Amino acid sequence: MIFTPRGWTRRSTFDGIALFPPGGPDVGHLLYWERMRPLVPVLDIFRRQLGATADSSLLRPRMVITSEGEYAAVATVRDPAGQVQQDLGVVLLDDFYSLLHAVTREPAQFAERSATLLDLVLHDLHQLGDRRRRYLYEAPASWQGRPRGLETDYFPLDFPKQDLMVTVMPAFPRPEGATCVKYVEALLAQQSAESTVEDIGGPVAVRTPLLPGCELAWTTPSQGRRVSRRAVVLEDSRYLYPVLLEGSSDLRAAREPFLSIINSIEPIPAPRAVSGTSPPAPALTMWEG
Amino acid sequence: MHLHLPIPAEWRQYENDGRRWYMPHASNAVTLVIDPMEPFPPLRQPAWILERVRRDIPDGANLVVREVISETTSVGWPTNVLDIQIVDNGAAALGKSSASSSAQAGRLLEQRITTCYRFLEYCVIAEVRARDLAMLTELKDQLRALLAEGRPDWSGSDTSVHRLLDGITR
Repeated sequence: MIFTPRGWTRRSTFDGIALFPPGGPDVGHLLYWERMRPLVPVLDIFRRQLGATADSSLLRPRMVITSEGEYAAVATVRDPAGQVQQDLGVVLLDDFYSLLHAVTREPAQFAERSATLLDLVLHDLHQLGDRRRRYLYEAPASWQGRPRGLETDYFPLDFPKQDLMVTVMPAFPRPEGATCVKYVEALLAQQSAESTVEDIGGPVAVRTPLLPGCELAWTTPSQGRRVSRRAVVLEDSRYLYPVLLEGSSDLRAAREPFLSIINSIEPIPAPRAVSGTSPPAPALTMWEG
Repeated sequence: MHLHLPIPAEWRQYENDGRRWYMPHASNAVTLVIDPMEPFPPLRQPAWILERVRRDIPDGANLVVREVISETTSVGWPTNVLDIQIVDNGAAALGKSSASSSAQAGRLLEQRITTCYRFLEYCVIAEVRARDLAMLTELKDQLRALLAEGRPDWSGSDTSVHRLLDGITR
């Protein structure tokens, strides 16, 4: 949900919201949609939105974090004559996104319009709160990822011959008193209830450049083979970040991709006050116009 | 998400409705049709496969599954390979080795070799369709070797934040 900038008018469209700056549609407009699917890379969203109206190769999007701690991006592109500017913004949510698209036909207002769009992105409200969430890490270059809900599994290209899989689970909001050690112990208890667990190693403390955590390893017999597992769970004050490596092949072969994921995990941004050129107007202004 | 196969560059190809069509020979008498990768319904897999292979059957023709073999690809993905004939008049399928009894049973319209790849919770069907058995015999080893190299390509489906923000300055 976006606020209405002061002096602008607001109209509902069949699938979203249209905002008009002082001067009306002749000067420009800003469109907003939420709950957009499917979730695809931001550059693809922007290119599709621009269509043939602008040279999308000129886009230089930058990442921002909203006041709710959600990942977002903004970009600006102008026509070759410098008469029309398009500002784009996207806020990435669980399996959907919200999209903002401003068109400005008054060059004197280009800078102001970019600032307004950025403000709207930064204050785009979804109120999804603490929940299981995906987070930033670097995917291993030589493996391929397959999404499964909020989880992503990574496989070597010669899987299942090389029977190895890394599962990056969504970050898990920490219940009161929960620690990474308790999490891995619960994971092990669950495994023990399902099958024989052998060769338990850990939990041992680990530390990445950004987060502390712990690691636990174990082996289970499964359909005539032995499956080894290595779970690393990082933690910050709000979330646990579990990553699991498993397979019947030698887990050492997956050391590099596994560690590259673990070491690149970035904590989920916390909700915070964000600076903007124009603070949000009172919520009731959504009814104006 | 799709089936990755090392298709020779010289094969003609086109795409229609998400299906990829390859022509290994100038005559079009043998084609390889590859369906999109789809989630495999866990509770009705045999029925699902049969439903898929029953598509594209000419009016008045019958599909006869002569044999189903379980195989694995070169890197170990499980497959079911179906030996299928499309025959007219709803007659019995051609015998495997008896040309004379075949002629009595019904006219062969098309020979199909259908490979159902099982990639964890997904399935892809790749179907060789031949209206010329001699040409199929000529291409069979090449096609078999090609299909054995099938593996999933999940690129484009990954929704990790890293991929969604690919190319975005931080």
